[in-house]
Amino acid sequence: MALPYPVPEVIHLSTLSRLAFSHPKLVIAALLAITVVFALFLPKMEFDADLERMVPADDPAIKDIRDATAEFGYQDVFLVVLRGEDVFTANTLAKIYSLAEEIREIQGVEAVLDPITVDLIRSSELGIEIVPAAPGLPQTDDEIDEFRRSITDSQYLGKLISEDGRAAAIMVTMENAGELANARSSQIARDVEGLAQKYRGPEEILIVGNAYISYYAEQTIKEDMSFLIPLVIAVLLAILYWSFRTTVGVALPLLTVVTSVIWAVGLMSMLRIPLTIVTMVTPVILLAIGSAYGMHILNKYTEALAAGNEKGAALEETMGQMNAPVAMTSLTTVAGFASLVSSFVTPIRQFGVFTAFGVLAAMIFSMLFIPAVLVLRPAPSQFTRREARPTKRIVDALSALGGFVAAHARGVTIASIIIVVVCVVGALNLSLESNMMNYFEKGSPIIRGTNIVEDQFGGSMQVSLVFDTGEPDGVKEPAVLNRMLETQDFLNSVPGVSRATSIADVVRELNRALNMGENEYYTIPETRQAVAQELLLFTLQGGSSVDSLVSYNFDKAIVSARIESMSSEQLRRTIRRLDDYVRANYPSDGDLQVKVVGIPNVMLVLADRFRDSQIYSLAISIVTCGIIVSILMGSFLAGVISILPLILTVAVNFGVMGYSGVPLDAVTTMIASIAVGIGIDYSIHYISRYRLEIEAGKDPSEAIATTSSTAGRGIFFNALTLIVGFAILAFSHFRAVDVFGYLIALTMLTSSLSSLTIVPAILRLLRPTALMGRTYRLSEKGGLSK
Amino acid sequence: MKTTKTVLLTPGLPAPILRPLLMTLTRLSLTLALLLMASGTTFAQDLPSGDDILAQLKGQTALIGSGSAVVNLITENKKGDQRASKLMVFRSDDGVAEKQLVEYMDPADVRGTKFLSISERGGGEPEMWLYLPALGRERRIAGHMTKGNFMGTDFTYEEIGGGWAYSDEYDAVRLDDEAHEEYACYVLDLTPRTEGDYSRLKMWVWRDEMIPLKIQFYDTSGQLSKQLLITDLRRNEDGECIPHRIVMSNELAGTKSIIEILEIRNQVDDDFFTLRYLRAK
Repeated sequence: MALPYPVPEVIHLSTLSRLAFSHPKLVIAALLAITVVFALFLPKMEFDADLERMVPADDPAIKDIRDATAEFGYQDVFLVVLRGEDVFTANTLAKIYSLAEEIREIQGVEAVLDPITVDLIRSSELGIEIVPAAPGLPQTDDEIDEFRRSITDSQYLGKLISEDGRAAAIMVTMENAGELANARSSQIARDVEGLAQKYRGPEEILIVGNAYISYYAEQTIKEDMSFLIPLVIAVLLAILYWSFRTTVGVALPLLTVVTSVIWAVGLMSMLRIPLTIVTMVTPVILLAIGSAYGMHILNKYTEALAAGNEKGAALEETMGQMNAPVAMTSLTTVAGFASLVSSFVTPIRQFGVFTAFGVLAAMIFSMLFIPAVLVLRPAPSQFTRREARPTKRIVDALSALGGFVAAHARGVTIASIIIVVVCVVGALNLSLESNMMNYFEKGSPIIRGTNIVEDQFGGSMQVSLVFDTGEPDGVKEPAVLNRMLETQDFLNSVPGVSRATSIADVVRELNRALNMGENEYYTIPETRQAVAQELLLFTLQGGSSVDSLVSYNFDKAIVSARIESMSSEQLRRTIRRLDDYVRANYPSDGDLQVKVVGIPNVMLVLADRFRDSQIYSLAISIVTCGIIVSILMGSFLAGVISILPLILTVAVNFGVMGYSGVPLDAVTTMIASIAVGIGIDYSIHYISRYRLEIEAGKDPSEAIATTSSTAGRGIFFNALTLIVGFAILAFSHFRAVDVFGYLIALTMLTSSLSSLTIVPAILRLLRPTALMGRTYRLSEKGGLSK
Repeated sequence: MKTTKTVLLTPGLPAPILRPLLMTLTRLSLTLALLLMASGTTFAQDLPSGDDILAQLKGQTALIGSGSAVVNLITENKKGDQRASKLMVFRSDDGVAEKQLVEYMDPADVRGTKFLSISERGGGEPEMWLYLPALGRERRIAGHMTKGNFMGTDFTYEEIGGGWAYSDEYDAVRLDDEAHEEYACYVLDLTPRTEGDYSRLKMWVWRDEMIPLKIQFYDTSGQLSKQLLITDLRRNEDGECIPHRIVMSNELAGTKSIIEILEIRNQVDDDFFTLRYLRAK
């Protein structure tokens, strides 16, 4: 699995190896000490799955929602739904009552509305009365009937009690949610979940809302981590054992990757960067890719020993030859990850930085720690380097493939172009997804719960329209209130949107109650005075504050509605309808300024950012890798050829996503850049070896056959390891992450295969000496080639 | 404190701040209580014990008979946004019944709104009516909502509505005298005789006039919950010292309520406290 190709002296990092040879104990001690320091931070790792946090805080969508939260309070839905055969039984009601009471006690909960204690506005002989739906916990049949009548006659039918009477909802408002540290809102969600467990059965208790999704996602991240990491390590152990069958052979690469994970995750923890659904992929990826470096080095060492060298000579030869390729492959990988820094999505940026750091750590560890240990340990007495028969067959097949490509270079090239075109067509169907809900598996409790709750109580998200009249008390103007009612009717007519309400509902309900409950008075009074006085009466009569509906001086008001959880594409169409309506009815130069605000807007901004991120980071990674290769190989053409297989790889990835309906989301947008960073190595290996063969005087067809069986062998095994490693992500409990696992495994397959097909096909079509650049001459002088 | 409830005003949007604002305008007696008490205190005396000082304060409230004032009532939320209204307050107490009428002068859209409350001494709930000119008829207000905030302010009946009846409910211990701003004050530590909303009160009483200038209310967990500040003391023609500005801050919620006295009159016609006057334009 040696990777012989010429590299300029510049990155011939033999200084590192010399250090490892001269002071092995010092090197080992120093590296272990650093590792211990990073490891000390691991237990402090934080978890975060908050959507809002993915978008930088200065984005207008975030700013709007923060402003609305400051003005009107919590701008999200948090519902605890109890569902059974019949809510109206003494037992179930008692359960609802005490569950609501206990939720009220949770620190950070500002308000709790439950169907039993919620205040209702009623008409009374001399005016209005504001009384709870039930005077106490209804126990007797009569009390229960009385309660059923009053709650089902109220506006809370469909909001706190389902129309079929089988479910009741408890609505939770969090304190100051706009500025709440995520830790707190997820703690609240955890406490509510604890209570739900306590009261569950025979009735079901379901929880919906973004706070709960975040909490649940955090739990899933933890679960995934504690399951996926050991699984990857186990698979790695198996591969290492199969390859080396010695303790050192298994232990050193394993130690390398584990250390790189500790460094990367420890640094994150040190900098207080939480593990998110995106950054959780870092450890798994590092485990999969970081092992290659150690394996290459050990391979070469074993080879050198088998060739009859003394331990010292074997080590020197190994490090002399391996430093450069290890550095080059890891640096291109680092470039691939680092290109994600251009992302507009915070966790993707973090993923890029820390995974790149982890790869660097693995590189340093491979170049320092492994030789230092090898210096101290006696050379292994036995080498199990027999070519297993399957390997032999693979090599034969690879050689045959090379021969076939050389013979049908034109055909292979045309076929590749056709594949790219077909895939590009498919990629046009690519959709974007930023709704966290859709990151979970279809059967997960969170999706099931949300479906049930939305069925009975409308959406699980909130969208709001903020009305700004520009003058204090402007909201009390009947014309404004009537326009708010019109807007509510419009909102309720939009599919997926329901239960629009505002201060206008309170006013018309008051007006009706003040007019003996006659339905013809379920309207806004005609004068501003009447509105103001009814609201004053409401306040004096003990009506709860209307702070969640109007600003303190009544210059702004909010119309809010529930919106169902839907895909980002549907959400975009829905929000666009709302925006169009607002633009048509409330022109920006009019008296009344209206703005659409809410988590759905944040989701759309995020979806757009996924798309933009994708374009930028992909372009950056391709160009950077092309440049690195051009410089290192001293040939611009080599740089161009090396990225051709990656274009096919990326096209296939997007094509498959487009045809199978897998959306671009926080996780899948990273695939292309990562694939470029890792996949470029295969082109590098292939082109370098081909040049050596040509230089050695072989004709192109012959050179291709040889290259395919030598470099091809390394490529094959490396790709196989990565495919198996990444495929483990398919066991994640996040649909998004498991799709990511499949897709990135697919890209490893395509990039390795295309480097064995497109690259030789193009090389065959070119003049044999076309690639002989500056480096070639350098390497000739440097005598680096084998 | 006690359980809070809300009217659900939005389905998607849980009504946030539970501020049950039940109240009676009777609370406004605070204003009058304060001014009248102050006006009655004409000389300073050496009062050795805390309870004596407290009793002295109570003595002042007993002097409340009748009076009227024009006040600004300002409420302020956590962010410092303010809402103001201008009210005319009429009060009478003949020892049999406490009567109070509040009339809105400002803002314009509630001008002419009147609130009448009559509570019999030793009787049950006070009777309360609200007259809304735009609706042309008075409405009865349920009287059982006497615990809570006055009209969305931070004043509650318990704290102020009952006048300075602290000696009925609290035992006072005199602490070391302190200066509050430029005023030499007695400092009292008040402990409730029965369990209630507060575990203790701390009161600064200006020695010269026996006016409490600052009262701190500590909740059952020992946290400072509210603070009352009395400022803008002015002497009237008779040389009596009258507070003109009363600020109650809710230290937990971050809100504030301010009463500014704009004008004090003494004549009150008993006709004010009738439904007939209530309906009159």
